[in-house]
Amino acid sequence: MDDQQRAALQAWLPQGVRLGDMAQLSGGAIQQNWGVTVTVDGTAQSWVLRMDSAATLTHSRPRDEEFALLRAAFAAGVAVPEPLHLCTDTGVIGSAFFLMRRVEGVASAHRVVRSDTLGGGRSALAAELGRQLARIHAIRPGHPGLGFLRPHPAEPPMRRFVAEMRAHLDAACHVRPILEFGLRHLERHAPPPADVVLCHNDFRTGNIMLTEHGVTGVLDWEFAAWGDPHEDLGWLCAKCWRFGSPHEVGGIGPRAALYAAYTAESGRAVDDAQVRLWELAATIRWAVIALSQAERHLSGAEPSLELALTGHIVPELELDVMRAVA
Amino acid sequence: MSDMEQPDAASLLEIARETLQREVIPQLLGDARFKALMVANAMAIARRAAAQPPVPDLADAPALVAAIRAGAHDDDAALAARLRAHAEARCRISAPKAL
Repeated sequence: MDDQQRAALQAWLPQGVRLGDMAQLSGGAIQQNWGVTVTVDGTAQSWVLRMDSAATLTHSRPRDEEFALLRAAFAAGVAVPEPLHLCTDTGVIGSAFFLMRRVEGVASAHRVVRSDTLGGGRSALAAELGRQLARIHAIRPGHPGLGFLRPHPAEPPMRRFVAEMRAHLDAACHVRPILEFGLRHLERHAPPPADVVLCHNDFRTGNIMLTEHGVTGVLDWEFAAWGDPHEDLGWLCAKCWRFGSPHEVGGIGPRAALYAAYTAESGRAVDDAQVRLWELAATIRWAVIALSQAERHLSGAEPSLELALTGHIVPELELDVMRAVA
Repeated sequence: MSDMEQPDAASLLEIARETLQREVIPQLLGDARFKALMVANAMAIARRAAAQPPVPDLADAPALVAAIRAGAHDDDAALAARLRAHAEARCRISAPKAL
């Protein structure tokens, strides 16, 4: 962020807001996050500015859609950073951006799964995750401001998932009999369509900001879409997101606490068999993503040790698939 | 007697990784430490791969994929056992802790 961008940002901000220090928090290939100190009518506040990276080529969710999702979630009582101001005019600082209140806490998966005290302890935190998911799932099709989300198709979400994964594998010329065996299992056991709710689709350890007292921020709304509530429960519980910890809810806590709190908050019973099918789906989805990440290295497009090593997690994921279907 | 120099590839990777792990990584912090741990992990995988014969591909995998999608292998316990063995053999190289 240079002086010119900074001056343009100051001019764009509402009356009474003065920009202070700015420091880049994270810079990916797709988005950048800047920590911003401001004074609002003389009172100091900490905000985050989220903007597209200059050279972004990927089809990421536009900032205005992400902002709308945060607004819907915030209004539904989900712990997300409060969205404050959106600017879709790329002429101000060079790309669309929004400002949100900064939340404190720890998200790093390896730190989270090792802690017995974050979020009030393992059972309390698993329960809180259930309440957070229940509030997200209270957002239903027709919700104002979310018209940009693709209408949910009539076919069962698990069948749609199977079709999408096969299409990904075919497009990339990946011949993977084990993943296919798992997908066929999902296709045969796909539950009929049930409630259609807003699914976060990446609600897992590593994307959830925590303090000792609870959840401070559910992050990364990139993949949110209409779907079956069990999709999010399965993604959260999948073994590949436990980071080596034995605790079944994202390496954090016990499954019973998650289910009980989810049901108490949503009034919706949890079908454990369906959650476990979506855990298998999660394993397959992560394997397909890992294959495509490894391909970015293998093709020479983006030589990277991290991407190269991602290819070597596929055997473990495939073994998890075979354990789940046997 | 082999004319190849000793130690062989697997032994070299082993001692190189041990040196990295014992003498280099403890002195690193932050991003450099994270990267060095990834290097050590890559060397461990390469050492295990160099120390054993390659895992053979599944025979006629494209036809197998088509047959699985068509439902020709539903409840095929023999195929399930073969697929599981294939995953386990690759885990012995890539992720032995998963076994």
